[in-house]
Amino acid sequence: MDVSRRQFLSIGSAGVLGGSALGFDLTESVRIKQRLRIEGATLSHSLCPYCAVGCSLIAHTKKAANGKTELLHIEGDPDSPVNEGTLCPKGATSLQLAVSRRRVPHPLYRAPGAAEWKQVSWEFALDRLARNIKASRDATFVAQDADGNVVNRCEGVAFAGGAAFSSEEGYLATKLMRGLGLVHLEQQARV
Amino acid sequence: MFARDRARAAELRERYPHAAEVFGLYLALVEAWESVGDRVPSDGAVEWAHVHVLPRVIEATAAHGPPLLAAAVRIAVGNGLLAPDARAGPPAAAKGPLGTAAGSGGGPLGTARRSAGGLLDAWLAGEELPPVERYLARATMRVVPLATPPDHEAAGAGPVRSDPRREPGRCPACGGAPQLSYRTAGDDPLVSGRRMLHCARCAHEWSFSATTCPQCGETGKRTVHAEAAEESPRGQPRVGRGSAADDALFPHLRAESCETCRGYLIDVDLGRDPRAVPHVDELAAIPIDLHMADHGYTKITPNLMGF
Repeated sequence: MDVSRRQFLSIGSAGVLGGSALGFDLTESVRIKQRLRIEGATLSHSLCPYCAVGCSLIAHTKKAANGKTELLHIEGDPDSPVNEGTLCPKGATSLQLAVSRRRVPHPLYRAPGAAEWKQVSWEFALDRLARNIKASRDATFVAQDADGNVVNRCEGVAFAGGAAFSSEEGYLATKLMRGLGLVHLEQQARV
Repeated sequence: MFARDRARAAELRERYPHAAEVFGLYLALVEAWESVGDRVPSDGAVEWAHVHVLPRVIEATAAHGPPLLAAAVRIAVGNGLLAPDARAGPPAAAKGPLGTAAGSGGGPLGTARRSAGGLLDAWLAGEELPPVERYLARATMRVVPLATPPDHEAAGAGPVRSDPRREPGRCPACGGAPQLSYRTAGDDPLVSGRRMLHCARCAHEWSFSATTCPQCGETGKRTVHAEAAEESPRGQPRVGRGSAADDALFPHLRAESCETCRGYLIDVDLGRDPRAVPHVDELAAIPIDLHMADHGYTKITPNLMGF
């Protein structure tokens, strides 16, 4: 039977060689594939929340069996003109904002004079915070300055907003603190 | 020129027994390429490759390829199926000092070859070739610079340049499809390396977006497929720098897929293995390729060995 070069090689690739297209033995590769545990992670863009630079991040996430999305890894985005894949040490650990084994999952309280921390409820902690803020404010509130001018300000409490604040959180915090009369307001993003 | 390829292929042949056959053939091809690598003429290279490289590739394949491929090539040569175009060469009067046709492929001989549908010309023209032919053409053209395809330039069209807006992942030098991607290594672990693509056609490398599909341009649905931690009960893939474990079989290899077009590429992370040679290491990723095929993904371009 006369066959052309093209016909011959076509027959070879399709029918004779088997296995891989070029006839490589795939037995061992198939065995490895079966025991290899390969999982997929989705890539998403994000921004580092820590400072005003606004470094671009790539986040790797995976949907768990329970339907929740887990954050696996964060790295600098090499395509970003802002950071070109670079992150500062703090930004490189921004994963721990969401996931950290060392995070304390409940409020702890150490009473005045006590050496040990003890676990308390959120109700207790929030109530205690509110009482202390109120007590500090009342103790250091200045209604008039030395010249008799009405100032109504609290000089005994300062507030530092976190760089992970969203704009809305920053607005809310400022409103609240100004309402208390605080004048010492700062934001970590400026530090 | 191929010293790094040779050293890496020899190393990987020992490290990955499942790919020993592949690397054995690759090393034989490296021998063939090295034997002609410094004699490639600046013009008429394709005709020269017909005469001087293809026979060596056939020889190397017949001697070191997997039995069925070697047999197929031997039978093909024995039947003269590859001979007329590949080995006859130009007539003596038309030959240059290295056996090249006078002129750069535009002479009567070159024209005759193209019209006869020669193997290399068919591959250069982007024809869909059967795997064995594609392998022979790619292995032969490995030593021929293609960034400015001679036929295209001879036609007065100038160098081929792809339009990145219309073809996001095509080679900016020759318009070819990407073979693989790799991440550059950095001294600082806090810096993510740029993503580079390696052209399957001319071996040119260029920088490309880390989160865009080179095949369809999708930017929103990218997935990285990597080995999961053995001890992890939730099967979390080891992604990102510095998280590879000692027990990982492919610590620096992973697959990057697009959920829109279902295409994927093997990605080599030089940050995890700075000694890796991406186009060599990619040949070892056969189990990952099989896994991706099982899950309905198609490699954007099969590699030289057809995976």
